[in-house]
Amino acid sequence: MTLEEASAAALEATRIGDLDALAKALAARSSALASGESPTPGVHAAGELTMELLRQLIRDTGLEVARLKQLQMATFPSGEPPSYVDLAG
Amino acid sequence: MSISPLTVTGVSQFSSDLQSIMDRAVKIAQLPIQALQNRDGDALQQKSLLSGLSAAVSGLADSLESLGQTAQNRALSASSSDSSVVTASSSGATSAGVYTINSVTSIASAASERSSISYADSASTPVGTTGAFRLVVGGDNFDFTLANNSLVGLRDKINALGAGVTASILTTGDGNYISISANATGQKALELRDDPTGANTNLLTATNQGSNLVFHLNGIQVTQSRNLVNSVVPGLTFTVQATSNTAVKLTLASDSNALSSALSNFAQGFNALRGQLNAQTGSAAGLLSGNPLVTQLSGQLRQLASHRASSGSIKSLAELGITFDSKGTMSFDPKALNGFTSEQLSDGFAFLDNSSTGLGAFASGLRQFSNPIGGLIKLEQDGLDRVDSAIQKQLRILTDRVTVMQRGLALKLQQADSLLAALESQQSVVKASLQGLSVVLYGKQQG
Repeated sequence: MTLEEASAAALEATRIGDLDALAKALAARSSALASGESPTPGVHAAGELTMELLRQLIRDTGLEVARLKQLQMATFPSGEPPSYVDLAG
Repeated sequence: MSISPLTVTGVSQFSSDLQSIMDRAVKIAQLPIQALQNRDGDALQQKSLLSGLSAAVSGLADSLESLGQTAQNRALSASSSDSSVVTASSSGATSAGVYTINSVTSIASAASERSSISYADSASTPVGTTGAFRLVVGGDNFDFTLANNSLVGLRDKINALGAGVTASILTTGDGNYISISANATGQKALELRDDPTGANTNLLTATNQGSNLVFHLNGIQVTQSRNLVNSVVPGLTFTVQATSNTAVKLTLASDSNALSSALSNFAQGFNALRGQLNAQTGSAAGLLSGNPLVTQLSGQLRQLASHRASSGSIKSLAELGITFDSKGTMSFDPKALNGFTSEQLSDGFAFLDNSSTGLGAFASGLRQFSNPIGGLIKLEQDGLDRVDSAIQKQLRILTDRVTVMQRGLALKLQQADSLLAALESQQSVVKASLQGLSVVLYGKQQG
């Protein structure tokens, strides 16, 4: 997969929220860069757009997690429920 | 309940912004849940308010019934001209009257005898010749045989017969005696026959066979076994304390103090409910504001306050000294009853009694609200219990769902953050590469 193809695949995967496909596309993109393929402004722009979409996906997911966290707190008046949002693992 | 903020530790450059997003989201998302909890809290508080309302309604109904009963009985109370001889009380009398006890010849007392002879040892000296006995109590005979032919055995056996007497042992310097006393007053022969089918000897004295109450009421002789008399004059109960040759008057007459007390209790009950209803109306109304029960009960109080009789000299509460202020609070002035003629008092009783046209009849209407089994307030409380249960169930279901969904979303969040970090790294490489290309092609960096 060329650098442009991988960048386009990453963008498409992010658009549809398929993180597994995004992981594969980013791996292909990384390989293409490592092979010495020169990037184009289009590749850069596609990457920026992918990052923006990914940030939006994280925001949306964060909102959903927060909402669920709040619901859980509302039904656990005596204590803190286990947290599933520690991104550091 | 406050919501603690989520702690987010991501690896992308974007992760620091995520914390503020999450904090805002918690605050926003709290609103609908808080509303759900508030609704549950409101339901429980409404139930509590309804309990207070029910107690106030029940209290007013009680005071109305008591007032109606007092009026029904024409507030009659009994008195005696000589309470050292006779004490009297009203027990539901419905008409006034004066009764004369011309004389009390005898008052009732319980029969009580002892053995004619003493016995040296209460536990071992034989009492009877054969051990067979007959206890005579009035017209009743109780035959028995002692296994333990002694005073102790005899006492225990008699007390186990259920003959309406109590046996005990008297210990003196001369020896031990059996004492037998009737449990109730009244003239009654007491005998203890030794060997009833043989020698048949009475072992007891015959000095105190009890006595009946004997008196003359309005010239008629009355004899009975008890000193409490409650079956001669309807609604009048009296107790004879002593014999007397002097006449004693028993009077049943209307007592305005009893009526005043009942009206005062009614006013207190009315105001207790009025206060609770006032707290649920107007600009500072409580959680029962707009509740149909509040409206209906307010209507009941209005009807009660404006109740009018169609005939008689007493047609309204105002004529009995009851007034209302601007908030509907009732006041009662007992002085209004002073100087009432017997006709006014009689019409007042008719206005207040428990008949279908009397004020007391409102009690049954109020009971429909306060009945703890199927009253309107109880039904409303049951509905609130169901609301509470439904909300609690809803929250439990949500909790179960949330736990599962939160795990999946947290994993997705973590994966997205890792990918963003990787993409940020790639873009740095791409950007550096493009800038290097611009220097080569144009001798300077582009944008």
